Amino acid sequence: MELLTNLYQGFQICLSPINLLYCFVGVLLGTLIGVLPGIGPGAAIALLLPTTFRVSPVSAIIMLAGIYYGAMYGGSTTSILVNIPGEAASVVTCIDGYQMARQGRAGPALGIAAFGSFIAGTLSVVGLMILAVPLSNIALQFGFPEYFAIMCLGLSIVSYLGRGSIFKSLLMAALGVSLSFVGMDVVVGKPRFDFGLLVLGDGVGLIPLLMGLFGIAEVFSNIEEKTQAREIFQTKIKGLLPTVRDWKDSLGAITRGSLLGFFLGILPGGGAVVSSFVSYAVEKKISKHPEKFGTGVIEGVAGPESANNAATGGAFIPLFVLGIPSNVAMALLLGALMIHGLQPGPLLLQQHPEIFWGTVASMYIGNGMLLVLNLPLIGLWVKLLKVPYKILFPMILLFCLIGAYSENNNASDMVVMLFFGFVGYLLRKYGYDLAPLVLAFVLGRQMEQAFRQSLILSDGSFLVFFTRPISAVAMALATFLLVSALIPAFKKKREKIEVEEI
Amino acid sequence: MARLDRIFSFIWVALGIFQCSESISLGLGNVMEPGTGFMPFVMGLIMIGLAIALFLESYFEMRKKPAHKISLWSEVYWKRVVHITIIMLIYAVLLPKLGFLLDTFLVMVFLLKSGEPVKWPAAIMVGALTAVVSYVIFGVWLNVSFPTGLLSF
Amino acid sequence: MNRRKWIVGIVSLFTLGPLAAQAWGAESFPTKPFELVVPYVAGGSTDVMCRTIVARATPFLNNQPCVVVNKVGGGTVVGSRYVLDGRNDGYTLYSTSTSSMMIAPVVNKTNFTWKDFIGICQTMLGSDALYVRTDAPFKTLGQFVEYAKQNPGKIKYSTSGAGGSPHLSVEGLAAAKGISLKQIPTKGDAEAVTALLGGHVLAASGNPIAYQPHVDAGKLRCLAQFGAERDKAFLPNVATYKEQGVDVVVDLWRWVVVPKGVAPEKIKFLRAAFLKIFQDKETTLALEKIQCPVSYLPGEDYEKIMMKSEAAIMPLIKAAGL
Repeated sequence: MELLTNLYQGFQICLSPINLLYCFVGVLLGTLIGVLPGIGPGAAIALLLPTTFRVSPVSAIIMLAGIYYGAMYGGSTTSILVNIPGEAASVVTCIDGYQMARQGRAGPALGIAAFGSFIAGTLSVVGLMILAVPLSNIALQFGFPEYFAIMCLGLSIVSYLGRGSIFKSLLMAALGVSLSFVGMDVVVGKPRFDFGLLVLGDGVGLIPLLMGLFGIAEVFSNIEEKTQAREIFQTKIKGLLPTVRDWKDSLGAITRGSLLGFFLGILPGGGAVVSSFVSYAVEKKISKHPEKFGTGVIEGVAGPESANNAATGGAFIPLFVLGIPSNVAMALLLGALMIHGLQPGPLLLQQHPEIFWGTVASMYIGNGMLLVLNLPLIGLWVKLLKVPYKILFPMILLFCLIGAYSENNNASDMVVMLFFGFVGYLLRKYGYDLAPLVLAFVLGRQMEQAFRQSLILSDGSFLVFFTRPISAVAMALATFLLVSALIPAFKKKREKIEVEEI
Repeated sequence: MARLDRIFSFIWVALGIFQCSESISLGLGNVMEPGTGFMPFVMGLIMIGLAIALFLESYFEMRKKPAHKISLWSEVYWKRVVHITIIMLIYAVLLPKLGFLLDTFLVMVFLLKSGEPVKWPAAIMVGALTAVVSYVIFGVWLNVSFPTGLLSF
Repeated sequence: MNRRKWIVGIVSLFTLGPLAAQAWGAESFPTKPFELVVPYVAGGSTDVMCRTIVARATPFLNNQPCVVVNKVGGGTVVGSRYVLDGRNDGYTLYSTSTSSMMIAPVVNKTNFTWKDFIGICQTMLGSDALYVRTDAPFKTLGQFVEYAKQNPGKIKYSTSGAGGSPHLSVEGLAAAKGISLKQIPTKGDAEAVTALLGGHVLAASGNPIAYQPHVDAGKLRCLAQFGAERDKAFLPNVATYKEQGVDVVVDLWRWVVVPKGVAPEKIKFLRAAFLKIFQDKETTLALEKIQCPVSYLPGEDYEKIMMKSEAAIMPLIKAAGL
């Protein structure tokens, strides 16, 4: 089969000592970058771009790609250990992962995240290999109304994320969408809601928002506790690796997450984020014990972690097949290709197949390297949690401060983060879930942009969302999900159902 | 919590109204070409609607179970939170003036003293160590350009 | 107390030591690394161009490296403001363009203009262009205009952003020929290209770098470019607006500038350094490799070029209703 010969050639390329070295360096750096909050793969790739000038194109791409999917492995580490998501795609891991850490189960959480990421990453490379061309053609069918409908569908997932009152979750979503409106209005090109502050000129930064709502707010909640006798983290570590029971619970989640992540990762703008949220919602919905989600359920870690890693495979498809980047990291890879004189686009596969196949082969190897790298580190991370919290928390806060600063080298981002830290602290006290806010924030802008673009396209007709097949299906699904989640809420007024006191 | 929800719903209504009014001043446009304020306005309306729903929900909750007063603020060291926030704000403001190393060192020391207090020698050591290590990791390896402030060498 | 003295001692060492060191060091230029600020996201065409330039610039800058710093946002306003509000000690350079210097300040109602900067050198002169699919009902600019006349409001075109130079250029065409075209702005060339490829819009306008691969693959066709003269490197076979009878010229230039207030001898140094950078064969070869239409002009030409550009752009901004 032609596929296998191509793959064989790809392995020949990437198994050379130089390329193996570059692959290793890439995934190692990626993991470290992922662990360090605030500095994302985009920044790392940008930093290392100059070092690739004098190297062959394949080696450069192998390394830079390694940084990208390596960062997804590292991102879950801080989410689980200290409730700080490395990037938006790791937010969902915080929900159950951190709770597991507090119960002394950080090891199994980190372990299943690593294994899940490996399986998902590998599966997505297989998908990339086989389905790249047909999927990219389908991706082109998605126009502005389709994007809007998908965003609506993504938002309707919110109704399944939180615990307790659905209205509070929806309010968080509404707040998230509204926050995403701050900044430059893309369609018109004018600023709005920025209260005259330059730091808000391009909108609320995602990194300050995440670090504030999760990292800072978490520290606040812990600091205010009077009963210091109770350790924040259980000192009795219950095992370093997932148990057989854990595996049984997670296998389904991993498979489902991988599929979801891969297909959603192809869509530009937030594929990894959306897929992690969708995976969480799916796991919760089909679980036999949905009410336990949020207290440290391993499926809540396995599913989303697999999804966001699978999404990295999907994200490469538009880049390699069409030369269109679906996020910042891909845009940088595109820049790298250009610097080496290669023209990313439909002809790249024909004229330079070695780039694609060499990279694909390296991704198999890279995922394996990442697994081997991450597992021993689990012991190290778990030891870190034993540091007394009174010394640990200033370091956590400092990490957040640096993370917020480093995106734009701007101290005002720190202030934004502190503001959201305070807001997050208050919201948690009053019983609001923060995950819906993040999802809505990530989706909000794009949803609005797609909405307005669609209306310009259709000359003002709302029917456009319902007459095109893909968007009609998505809209119907979104409405169904939302309504089916709301009905029980209205029924509650008449029936006697206990509401969880959070 | 139901009682607090009821009160909070007023905050949401206020927020929603504020958002709607700001949106109107940005221009709603018409259906054919939605203006800058269109979606925010819709979101504001949704917010108000949800707030009312929350109010009703918590109202019916309270009717079923007698509301016991939960105090969220009396059993906790909320002042610590305020202290820490102020310390971090000062960090952000002084960063360009003092430079990374000095500012980080000072802030670490103060933070260490503001939780369960850490003794001075330990605080200074940890502070200095953290400042230097983070400078090496972020400033040197990762090339984040920190302001050098007073220590420009 | 012993401990107190310790603390005071450490802190003073931290602060006074380097201050003293700096006072002793003589101030010759340059003595520390440079920053080249790029108001676009890393990986974009401006960013890649700048990184290519600085990669080999160190020997010409007294062996001081020049580092690219991305300051994204506000449609380049964040970058401009960062440079203007920062120190004008000559170590902060700015890569600006037609969009950033001429259009963005006006559209975003800021209070700075090109007069607040001093030019070091021009780096490139290129052109955006107008593209359609090869299976569209029009194959030339003339047919395009005809179609628009007969189907008013039907043609929707995508751009990389509202208020950018591609947007202005197409609106200029519409005004000149009395047709109505509807812009659908997106967040960048990538999205604009996707929309065109997928057939969701009938035309698109933007930086040729993003579109050329698809032209080569036979999916897209270029109808016109907007500059004063044909871009020989990139689009030698595509006629300009002017050649096709449209009196609209939008040159896409990029300049390296510094904020006003930098000392004259530093300006002299920088201008001389960049002249040498652009005479360096390796640099120009690398720039051509990334398909950047290199066009060096010395800093002394800054005012002339800016005024010409302003005169050409201002009426277009008004015509586009911004």
